[in-house]
This record gives sequence, C-alpha cells and structure tokens, in this order.
Amino acid sequence: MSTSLLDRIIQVLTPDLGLTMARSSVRMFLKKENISVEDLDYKDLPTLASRLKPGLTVFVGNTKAEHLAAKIIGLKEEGPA
Amino acid sequence: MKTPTLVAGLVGFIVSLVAVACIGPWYSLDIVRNLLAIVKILSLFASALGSLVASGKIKESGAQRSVWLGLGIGFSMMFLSQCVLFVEVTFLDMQGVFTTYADPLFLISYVFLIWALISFSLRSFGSGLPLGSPLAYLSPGLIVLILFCVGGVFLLYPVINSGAPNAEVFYNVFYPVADFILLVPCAVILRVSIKFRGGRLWMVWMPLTVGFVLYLLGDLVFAYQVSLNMPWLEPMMNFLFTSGYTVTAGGVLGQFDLIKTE
Repeated sequence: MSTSLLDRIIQVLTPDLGLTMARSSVRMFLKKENISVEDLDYKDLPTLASRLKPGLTVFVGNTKAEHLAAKIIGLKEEGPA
Repeated sequence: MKTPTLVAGLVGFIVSLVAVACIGPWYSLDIVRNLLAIVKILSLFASALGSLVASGKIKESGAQRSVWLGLGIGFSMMFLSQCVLFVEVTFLDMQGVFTTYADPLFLISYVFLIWALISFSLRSFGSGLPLGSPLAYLSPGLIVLILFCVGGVFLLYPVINSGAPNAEVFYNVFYPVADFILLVPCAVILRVSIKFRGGRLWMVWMPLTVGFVLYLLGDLVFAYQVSLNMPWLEPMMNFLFTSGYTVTAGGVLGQFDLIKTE
C-alpha cells in the first residue's frame, strides 16, 4: 500500500517536475522527516506537502504550488489505489 | 495534441525555415531579410507579452513574479530595439550602419535579463529541492566565468584593436561581455532544468537558456562581422539571432502551461 501511495504522490508532481525530480524530491523530504517508504501513510501527506511547497513555489509560483500540495493531501480522501 | 508539443513543433518549423532562408542564395533578397526581421520582431513580441502576462498571472509577490517581470521588461526593450532597427534598415536605408538608436535599448534590455536570471538562479538554489551540492550547483556558472576570463580576452582582442570608432568598439565589446554575464546564470539554470527533464519546467527553462546561448553566439559573430569587416558572416549571425529569439519565445509560452492549475 505504501509503495503505491508513494507512486501516486510522484504522479502528482511528475507533469511539472519530471519523473526524476519528482521521485528524488519526495524521497528526500521523506528522509528528512524520518519516514521510510515502507511506513509512508496517508497521515504523513500534510507534512510532506508542507515540506514540498516552498521549493515548488520558487519554480511554479505560489498558486500552482498550493494546487499541487492540495492534490497530494487530497490523495488521503481517495483512499488506497 | 498537447500545447507544449504544438509550441515545440512550431518553434522547430520556424527555426528550420530560418535556416533555409539563411543558407540559400536567396538570402540577399530584400524580401527574405525583411521576413527574417519580422520573425525576430514577432518572436520578441511574443516573449515580451508572454513574460509580462505570466508575471501578472502570478498573484503573490515574490521570486517568480519578479523574475518574469524582469524578463518581460528585458524582452520588451529588445522588441523595441528590433523595431527601431527594422525602421532604420527598411525605411531609412541604414543597412550596415552601426551604432544606431537601437543600441541603447539593447543595452537596457541586458540589465533586466541578467538581473532576472541571476535572481531566479539564486532563488532556485535556496528552494530546498534536491538540486545537488552548492559546488555542483554553481559549477556550470563558474566554468563559464573561467572560460570567459581566459578566452574572452583572446576573442575580443581583435575587436578592441580594430581601429573602429569608440562607440562601435564599446558596443562590440559590451554585447559579448553582457552575453557571457548572462550565460553564467543560464549555465546554472540549464543544469537545473536538465534535472526537470520530461516536466513542464524543462519545457520552459531549457528553450529559454538555449535561446540565450544562441544570442551570445550571434553577438560574437556580429562583433567580428562589424569590426573586422567580414560581411560573409551576416547570414550566420542572422540565423543565430532569429532562431535564438524564436526558441526563447517557445520557452516563455511554455510558462503558461506550467502555471495553469487545470
């Protein structure tokens, strides 16, 4: 379940950041939050989104960064794929 | 078909046409030169308007907005200078005259473009995204700086000693120097944009920086053509500028696809 959640987060970011940067950004912030890929859970999404947002703002602007952060947090409501 | 694919296809098509126009015997025809000038003006107009609109669409004040505003003002100045050049060459019979009223406008445009790109490269450094170590991040810019310090003197020495009037020498030195300064943040951004390959950010910053590299090459060729009286370099110079402006416009248009939130 955790791996598929990770993939879904990466899928949100890939159209803008590209697959390589989307993957490395998510993994880097998970590591900084001491969350392993195996332990990644829906409750971690708001933290992860808030960590990603400042960096995204620099590249895509605040509006789009907020939109992407909301999409990541919104994965929670959709439930596991 | 997606918008970025259409823009990339259109840019590729125009650059191919520009290449054909510049390498054939038809280059000496007035109509071909006028068409190339119109492509330059339209490309710069698209870049200027696109950058200013993009800056207006970014609601919050901050890095993104100021970067696109700086680019917008820079491209607007370039657009005006190309318009002045077009009028001078087409209607005032000033073909081959240098320096002209367009040059101060070009000079101002560089100030804004350099400021915008340095601002963006510094902000992206502090973004917190995994862009590499500080040394890895800055190394492309440092390499350009070292190359310019070593090679720039040799490249510009013949231009400085050409015996041309002072104003001519000033601009012929200013343009390549300003381009090299522009190339420092460009090299940094180019490396960063490679990390975003496949994404919309790549479709914005890759063409923008490649376009600026073409400007640099165009200015170097221009300096040699004017100072050392090498008219046979003109088609190459025209190709570099026209394709550079077109490629840059493609990058600016990509920004609209990036900032939209579906």
